[in-house]
Amino acid sequence: MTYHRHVLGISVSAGLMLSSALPSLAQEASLRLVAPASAVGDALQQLADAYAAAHDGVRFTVQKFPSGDNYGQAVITQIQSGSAPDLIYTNAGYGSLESLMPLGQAGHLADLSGGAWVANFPDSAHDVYYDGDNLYGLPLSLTSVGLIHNTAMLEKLGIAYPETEEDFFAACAAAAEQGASFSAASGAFPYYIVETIAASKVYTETPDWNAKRRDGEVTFAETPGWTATFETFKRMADEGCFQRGFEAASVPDLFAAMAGELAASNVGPVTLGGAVLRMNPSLSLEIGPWPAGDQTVALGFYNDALSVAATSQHLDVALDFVGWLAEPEQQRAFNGITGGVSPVDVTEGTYPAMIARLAPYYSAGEIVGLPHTGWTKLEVRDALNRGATQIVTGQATIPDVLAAMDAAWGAAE
Amino acid sequence: MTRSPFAMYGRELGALALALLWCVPFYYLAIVSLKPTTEIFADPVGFPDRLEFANYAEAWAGTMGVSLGKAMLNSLIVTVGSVLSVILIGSVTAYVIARNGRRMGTLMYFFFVAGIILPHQLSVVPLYSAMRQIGLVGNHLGLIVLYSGLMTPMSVFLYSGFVRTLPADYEEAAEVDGASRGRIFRMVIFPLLAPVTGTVAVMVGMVVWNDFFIQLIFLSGSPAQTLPVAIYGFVGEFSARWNLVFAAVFVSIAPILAFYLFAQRQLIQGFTGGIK
Amino acid sequence: MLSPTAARAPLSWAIPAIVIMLLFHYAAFVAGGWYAFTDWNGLTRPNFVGLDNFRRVLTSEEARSALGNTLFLTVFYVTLSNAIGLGLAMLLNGSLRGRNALRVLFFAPVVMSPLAVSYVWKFIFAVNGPINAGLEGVGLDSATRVWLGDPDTAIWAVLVVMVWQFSGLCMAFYLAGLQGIPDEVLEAAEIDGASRWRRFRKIIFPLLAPAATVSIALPTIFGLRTFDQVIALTFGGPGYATETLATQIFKQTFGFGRFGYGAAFALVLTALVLVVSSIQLIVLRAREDRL
Repeated sequence: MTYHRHVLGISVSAGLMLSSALPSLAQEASLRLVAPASAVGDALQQLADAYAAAHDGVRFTVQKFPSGDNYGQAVITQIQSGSAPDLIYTNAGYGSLESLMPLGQAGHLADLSGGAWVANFPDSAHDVYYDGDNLYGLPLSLTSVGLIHNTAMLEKLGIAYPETEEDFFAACAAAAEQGASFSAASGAFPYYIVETIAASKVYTETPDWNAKRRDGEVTFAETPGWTATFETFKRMADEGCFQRGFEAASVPDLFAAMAGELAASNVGPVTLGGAVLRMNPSLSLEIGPWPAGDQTVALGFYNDALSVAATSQHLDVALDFVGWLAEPEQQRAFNGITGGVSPVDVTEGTYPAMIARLAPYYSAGEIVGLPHTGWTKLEVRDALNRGATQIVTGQATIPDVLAAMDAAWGAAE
Repeated sequence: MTRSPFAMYGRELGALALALLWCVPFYYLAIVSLKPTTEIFADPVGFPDRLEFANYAEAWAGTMGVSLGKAMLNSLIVTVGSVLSVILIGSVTAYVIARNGRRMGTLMYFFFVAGIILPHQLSVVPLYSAMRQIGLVGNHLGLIVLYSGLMTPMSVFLYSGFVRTLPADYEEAAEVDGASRGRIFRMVIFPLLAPVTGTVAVMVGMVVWNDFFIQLIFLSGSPAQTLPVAIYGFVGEFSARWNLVFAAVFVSIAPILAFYLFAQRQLIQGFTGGIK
Repeated sequence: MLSPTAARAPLSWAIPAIVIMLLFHYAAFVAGGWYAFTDWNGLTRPNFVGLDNFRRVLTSEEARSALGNTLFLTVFYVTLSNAIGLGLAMLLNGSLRGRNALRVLFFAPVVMSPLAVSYVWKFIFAVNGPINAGLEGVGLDSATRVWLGDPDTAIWAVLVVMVWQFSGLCMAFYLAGLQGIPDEVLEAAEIDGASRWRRFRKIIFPLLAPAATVSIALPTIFGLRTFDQVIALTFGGPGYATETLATQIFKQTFGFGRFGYGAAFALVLTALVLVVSSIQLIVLRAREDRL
C-alpha cells in the first residue's frame, strides 16, 4: 500500500502543477460521485480530492456502495428516484446493472465524445463504449483475463506453461498424478473460464461476433466455436483439471485453493490474483493467455469506466474532471491504486511483469474483449454461467445450454 | 400396566441418540471456530491441536469497516425500536377493535390480519423505491419504520385475542375516578396486557433480529448494516476460512442463545401462547 | 354516568395503524402487483405488457424449477418437522430423565438466525467436511459426494437444514398441546385397558388438533418463502436445482433489474400462499370442530 501511496503522491503533485496551468473554471460547484467500496472507489476518491484541491469552489462528495449487485442496484435506484449523482462509476458495455450501454441508451448518461482525450480512445473498446456517435464513458484501466498461474508450483510439478489445449490437458494429468489440481474453478461462477476459451474459439475468427449476434446474423447454437468451447470446458471437468468439489465451490473457495497451493492455476481476471495474494503473499503469480496454439489471443477489456450523468447540474465541471482523469498522470495514479494497467501504458507498450506473457499479443493488437460485455442482456451471461455447471453435473446438454442462451437473448428483447 | 425396563431404556437411548445428533452442528461450530488457519486447509474436521482464540478477534473486526460489535448494536437498535413501536401500535389498535362493537370489530380485524398472510416479497420493491426517495434506505430509522409497518398485523392479531377477554369493570372503575381516556389506557389497560405484550415482544423481536431478506435489500453496504447482513458480507469475503466464518457465526448467535437459555421458559411460552 | 365502552376507545386511535396498513400492505401490494403487468427495468418508463410476464413464469425453466423446488421443500419440510416434532413431544412429555434439558436443546435452533445456521451446515456438507470424512472413516469412500454441488442431493441438504432448525418449534407446539390434556383423561383410558397405540390414536391425537393446526400452518408459510437457507448453502445451484420462488424474486428484481418479471414471481408466490393457507385453515379448523 505504501508503494501505491508513493506513486499517487508523485502523480497527484504532477496533476496539481498541470492543472494550475489550465484556465480556472472559477465557479461554485458541488459534485457527487458514486463508486463501489473497493480500491476503485478509493482511487476515484483520492483523485477527486486532488482535483477539488486544485480548483477553487469545486467540491466532491464520493458516495461508496459495496461492489457486486448491490452497487448496481444503488446506482439504478438513485437514477430512478430522480437523485442521480453527477459522476458514476460504470462498467463497459452491457452485462451488469451498472453497465454504461443500457444506462446511456436510456438517456441517463451524457455524451463524452467532445473531449480532446477521445483521440486516443482504444480501438478494442469501441464496441462497448460507443452507441452510434455517442460515447458514454472514460475507460480507466485495462483488465486482463487469462490463466493465472503459480510459477513456483508449476516448476515444482515439472509443468511448462501450456501452449496448446493438449498441453493443458497433459498438465492436468501430470498435476493429478502428484496429488494437486492443475486449475481451480468455482461451480457458481464458471463464466470467466468459458468466455476465455470462447475468445480463441469464437472471437479470433469472428471479432465482431457480438455485433452479428445483436443483428441476428448468428446464434450460439449455430456457431461451432461455441459448441467447441463448452466441449473443452466439459473435458476440463471430466479429466479432473479442477479441484474436488468445484461444483459447489464459491469464488473465495477458489481463491483458497490457489492460496493453499491445492491448485496451480485458475482462469480469471488479473484482479483475482490480487485477492489470492492477500490470502498468501508468498506466492508468485503471473497471467498468460488461454493456450490455443495458433488461435491464442489476449483477453483484455476496459471494464472500469467513469460516466457523467445527463442530469448533472455541473456538466462543464464534470466533463473537465473526466478530461483531467484521462491525462496520463491521472491514469497512472488511478491504476497505481487499483493494480490495473492504464490505457496510456497500453498505447506506449509498457506492461507490468505479471502480464508479460500477454504483452506480445497486446502489442500486436491481438486483443479480444470479454465476450459478455457485448451481450445486451445480463440473462445471457447468467444462462452461460448456469449452463456450464449444468453440463458438468449432467443436468443439461451442450445444445440445451446454447439454446437457452439464444432464448435468453431473444426473450430479453 | 407397567412398562418393561427395556422399553424405558429404549426411550432414553433414543432420546440420547437424537440429542447427540442435534448437538453435531454446535460441536463443529465450537471447535472449528477455534482452529488455527493452517489446520483449516489440512484437516478441517478434526479436533484442533491448539486453540486459536485470535480467530474471534479477527472476526470481531468484521469487514468493509463495520465490526461485528457495531453490527450487533445496529441490530439491537433496529429490534428494540421496532418492538416498542409495534407494541404501541398493536395494543392501542387491538383495544379499539375490541371495544367498538361486533361488526366494526370483525371488519377491522380482517383488515389487519390479512397482512399476516400476504408475503412481503411483492410489496418490498415499491416500498424500497418509495423509501429510497425519502431517504429511509440505509439507516436505522427506515428499517424501524418498515418493520413497524410489516409487523403491525401480527401484533394486532396477538393483542386482539387477549383484549377481547378483558372485562370492562376496571375501565369503569377508573372512569368513575375521573381518569381521562388516555390515562385509563395507560394505567389500567396496558398493564393488564402484560402477558401478551411479552409474547409480542418475543415474536416480533425474534423475527426482526433474525430477518435477512429485508435487511439485505435495505441496509447492505451502509454503515447501519445489521448482524445478518454483516455476517453475509463477512462470509462472502472469507468463505474459505471456516475458522473465521464460524467465529463470526458464533458471535452473531451468542446473544440470542444466551437470552434464550436465560429466559427459555418464557420464550417457548411466548411462541406457543396461542395453544390451549 | 359511565360512557359506552366504545367511547373509551375512539376509532380515531386506530387511524395511525389504518394508515400504516394502507401504505405498507395494501398500497404497496397494489403497486407491486401493477409492476407484474409491465416490463419495468428500473431505468426506462414501464410499459404495460399484459400477461407476458405470467406467460414466462409458466413456461421458463427458472420458474418451473423454482415452483417445483418450493413445493417440494414445503411438503417435505412440513411433513418431516411435524413427524419429528410430534415424536420428540411424545418422548419428552413423560417422565424421562433430563427432559427439560433436552427440550431446551431441541428448541435452541429455532431462536437462531437461519442464515447463521445454514453456514454451519454448509461446512458439514462441504466436500472435505464431516459427512464425507465420516463416510471415509468407515470405509464408505464410494458414498462420499459433493453434497451441495450435486443436483440429486443439493435440495435434500437444504431440507435437512430446515428440518433440523425448526422441528423443535413443532415439538414445542405439540408439548403445549399435550400439557393441555388433563391427566384424568389419560388415566381413564389406561383403566379401560386401551393399548398405547390406540390410546394415542383415539384420545391423544384428536386432542392435539389445535397444536397440529399451528404446527402445519406456520411451517407451510415458512416453507413457501424459503430464502435464507438457499442463499447461504447453494445460491440456487447447481443449475436451477435449488432455486425457490423467493430466491428468484430476489435475483430477477435486485440482480437483473427485471422489476416486472420479479413482481410476477412475487404475485405467484402470494397467490400460492393465500390458496394453500386458506385451504389448510378451512380443513384444519373443520377437523378441530369435528373432533
